[in-house]
Amino acid sequence: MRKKGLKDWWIYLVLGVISLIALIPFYMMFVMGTYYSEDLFKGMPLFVSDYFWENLKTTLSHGLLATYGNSIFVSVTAVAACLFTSITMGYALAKFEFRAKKFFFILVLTGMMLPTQISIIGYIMEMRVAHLTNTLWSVICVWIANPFSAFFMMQFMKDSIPEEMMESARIDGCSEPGILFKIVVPCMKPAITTVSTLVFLWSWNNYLLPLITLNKQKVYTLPLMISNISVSYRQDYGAQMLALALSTFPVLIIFICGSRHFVKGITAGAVKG
Amino acid sequence: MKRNKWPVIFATPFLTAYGLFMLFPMLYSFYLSLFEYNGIVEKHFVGFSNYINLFTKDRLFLKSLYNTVLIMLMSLPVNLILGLVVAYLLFSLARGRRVFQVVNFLPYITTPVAIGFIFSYIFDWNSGILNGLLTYFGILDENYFWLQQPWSARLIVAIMIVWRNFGYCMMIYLSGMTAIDQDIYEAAAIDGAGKFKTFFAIVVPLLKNVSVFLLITAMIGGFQMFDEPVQLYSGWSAASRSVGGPEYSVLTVIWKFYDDSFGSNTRLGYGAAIAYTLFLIIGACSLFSFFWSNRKDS
Amino acid sequence: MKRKSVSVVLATAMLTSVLFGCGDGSNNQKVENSSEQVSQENTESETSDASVAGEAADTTETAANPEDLTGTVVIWDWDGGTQQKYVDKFNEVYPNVTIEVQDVAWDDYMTKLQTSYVSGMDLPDIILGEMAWRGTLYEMGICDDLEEAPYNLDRNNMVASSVPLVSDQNGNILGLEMQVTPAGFAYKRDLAKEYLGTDDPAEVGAMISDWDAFLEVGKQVSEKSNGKVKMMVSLGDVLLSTIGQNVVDYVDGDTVDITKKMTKPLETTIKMRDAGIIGNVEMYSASWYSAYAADEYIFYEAGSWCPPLVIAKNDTEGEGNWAVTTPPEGSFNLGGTTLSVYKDSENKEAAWAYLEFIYFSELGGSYMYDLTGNYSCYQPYYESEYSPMDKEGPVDKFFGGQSLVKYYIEEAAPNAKTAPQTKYDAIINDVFQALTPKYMTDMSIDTQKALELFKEEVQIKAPEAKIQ
Repeated sequence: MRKKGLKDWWIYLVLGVISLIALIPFYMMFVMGTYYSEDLFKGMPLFVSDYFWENLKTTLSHGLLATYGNSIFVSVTAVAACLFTSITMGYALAKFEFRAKKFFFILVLTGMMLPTQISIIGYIMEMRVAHLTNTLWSVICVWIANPFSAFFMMQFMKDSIPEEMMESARIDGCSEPGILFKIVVPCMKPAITTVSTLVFLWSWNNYLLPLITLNKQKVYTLPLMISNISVSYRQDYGAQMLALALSTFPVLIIFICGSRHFVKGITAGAVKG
Repeated sequence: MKRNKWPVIFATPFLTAYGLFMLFPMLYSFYLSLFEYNGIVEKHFVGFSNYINLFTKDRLFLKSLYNTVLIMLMSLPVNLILGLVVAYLLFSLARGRRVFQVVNFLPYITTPVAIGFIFSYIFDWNSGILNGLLTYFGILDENYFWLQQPWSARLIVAIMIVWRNFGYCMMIYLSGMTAIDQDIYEAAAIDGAGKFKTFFAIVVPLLKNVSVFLLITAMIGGFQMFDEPVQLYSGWSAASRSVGGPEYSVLTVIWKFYDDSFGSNTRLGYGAAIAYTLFLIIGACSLFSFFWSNRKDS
Repeated sequence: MKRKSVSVVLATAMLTSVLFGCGDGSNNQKVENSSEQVSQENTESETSDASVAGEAADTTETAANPEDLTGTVVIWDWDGGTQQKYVDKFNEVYPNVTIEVQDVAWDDYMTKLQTSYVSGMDLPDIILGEMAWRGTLYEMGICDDLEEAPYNLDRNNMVASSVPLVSDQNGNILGLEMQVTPAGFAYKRDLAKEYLGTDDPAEVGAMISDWDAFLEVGKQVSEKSNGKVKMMVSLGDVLLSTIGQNVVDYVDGDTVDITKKMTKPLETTIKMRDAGIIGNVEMYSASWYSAYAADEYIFYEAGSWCPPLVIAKNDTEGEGNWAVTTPPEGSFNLGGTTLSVYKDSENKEAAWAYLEFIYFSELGGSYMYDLTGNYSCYQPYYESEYSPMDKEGPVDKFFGGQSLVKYYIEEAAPNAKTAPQTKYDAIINDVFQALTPKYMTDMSIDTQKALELFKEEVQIKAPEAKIQ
């Protein structure tokens, strides 16, 4: 299968071209972040320009650091909460037989198919009643129950957690939560990495909800802050691109760190889809 | 398996949050869909007439559905095929696999706003890179208005979608290939099967499950298409601003829902009816593809 | 340090009270009213004067002393930096009122406002009504009538052309204008000299006295420059100007007479397009903004806010090379933003104190002029000792020493026709943006076809309307 040598050069060529296409817009985003906004339209921004520090200053003066902190808090909390509910839910659906199982399963499936924007009005009303508007919790709560994650965890456990493992633990007198958290969860690294990356990414880029529920600069998240960088009559594309480029780092780091697990994770949940 | 209280206990956190933050708002939206309500004038009950009006009076709903399906047909097959081919090529690499993996996945983690801005920039009429190149090399005599012609607008949106998502398909296929027993590849190689033959005779059939999963999830995602056209035609990153693009050619169902509910209008009841109708369509299509793929199995 | 700042505040307060008190003696209620709000020593005697003056008395009962007025006022603004400058001035006199300026992107403003309102979220105390959505905002019924208590605004004190622009369909005044916004045509002096033979505003204005003359000049310019130099950047500029000029009463209940409103503008626009004298840049696109620095276009549509906010910012090297003159067929209103008080605000007094202090007083007018080059909509300001008429504005130098305030306030504003905004104006604005690229590229569209397309689009956006 894997012969050495340059016989495969054409594969590298094809992949190289495709990767280049995949890379160009991403690269442009970073390069554009170093331009003086008006200069962006004078020619092709292929190489790094000299306006990086100015743009950085602009983004910092709009509270880049604080909003970065807010966004991290939102995404990390959302991921943690989502992991907890989706693992327990997935476990219940994958490893138990009970009367309401089918009904629960249908709820999860329905949730996956519903356009997410549909529930926003009712959700905001709830947040208001609970006095959570203008707090980061109003953007976190929506991720606590994520049907995709629950479905994914269920598939993963069905495929890769053997019954015997749990049975022997039961015989040893392990409690049910004990089995789940001490025995099952450690085997689920790939799934946990996958769900974490995706939920982190989705909650990180969320725009409509924070736009409406957050009314104070000090609780703004990154996408909100970035769209506010430009004042009315002059679009500061340079600074905005820089902020966007900077905002991809956490996801990038998570992805690179978890990329090995990530691959395995997606398969396991996917194959039996 | 007899401890019946446990599954319910385990399901409780999810179900509580689901009930609070999804089910209730969803049902509330359904309730609203039965009313004529814009948040300002007192709401009044109209039964199912919002749903009926969608198909009989609204000149844009069917068009938005048509656009959505059309752009999906333009992008989804390319996504799957490209993802599969690239995954296969990657898989047969001796070295450099991780690097290619990460690079090809980068578009998926790029913020949608940035994608919108960069694509507007590439395809802009006056200052766009594409027109610059095409006229420079004499392929075009004058700048082509990519973003203002219905078909090229749809094509650009489809390209954005492919560009952004093929890396995701690639990852899933790649992992599917890793899961196939390695001996099969060895056997094929010993039989003298070339790369193409192995691909069509072994890889494609064995990855059918993955393909079905991708197809269904991509379809659900495709019906909810929103980010790409919106980023291209509205918001700070867009070059030409208009709801739905030229002649509403890239107005998708969710964009229409969004515009009717939170954009040009606040017709919340009507918007909810759009979203529920879409939900029914998605459900029907998913069920259909699910049974269709299962029947072929047996 | 602390004592110093207190004394500064005191000094400012005293100074303002003296200035107001000893003003030109105009028998204007509003002036006296303001003077009460800022004065400390004269409170008693002034109040008795004011109560003689009538309605002013109840305006001031809570705010006899600026330092007694407390509260937190929230403003949603997309240009928070500028607003903050005004807030700082305000707080020198009203130290106990907190004004929170909240950044909300222009593109999101109405989405955020409407959705927040519908889901019962708190709205800001002061709401901005940009031209693009003012009609919609005013029809939502969430802005207070400023002629009623506790505001008691006197419409006679407002610049006449502003009054219709801040009124709803029933004639109630729902906002204050952030600045008076009559339009002019800005132009580049070097190009004007080269192609028109003069860069004098009056002469240039006379050359383009109407659209036909504009067209002829355009053809000559085109000939002289071999088609390189165009009259304006975008067809959208022409259409927007002509829509602004065609002030007609076209809405009657549900009947919307698009033919009446749009025929003339579209006719002119298509004529200009066919003559090939207009650039083909999309309005508000990045290239449109960068066109300010290009030397291929002579005229630029310029509302009164454009010189400082758009032109100077986008043509950073153009100092001295600009001038402004009357557009063909006269001035019109271009853009503009109003400030309204939310009907359920809990800090109406404080909100109004701020609005009045900055946007509706003589002193506030001078702050605006000095800080941003904006022209207050408070008429007495122009006759007071703060009057900007002989003061150099922040971008006059940029305009080759031309007095912009003289142009905008003396020449343009009195002649700019204005009308109250309806939600159909907001819709027309949307449709205009969506269709202009099509008009621009598809040469087969004539006036008739353009009008039909326009009607169709309006109908789609307003299904309930009867379009004529």
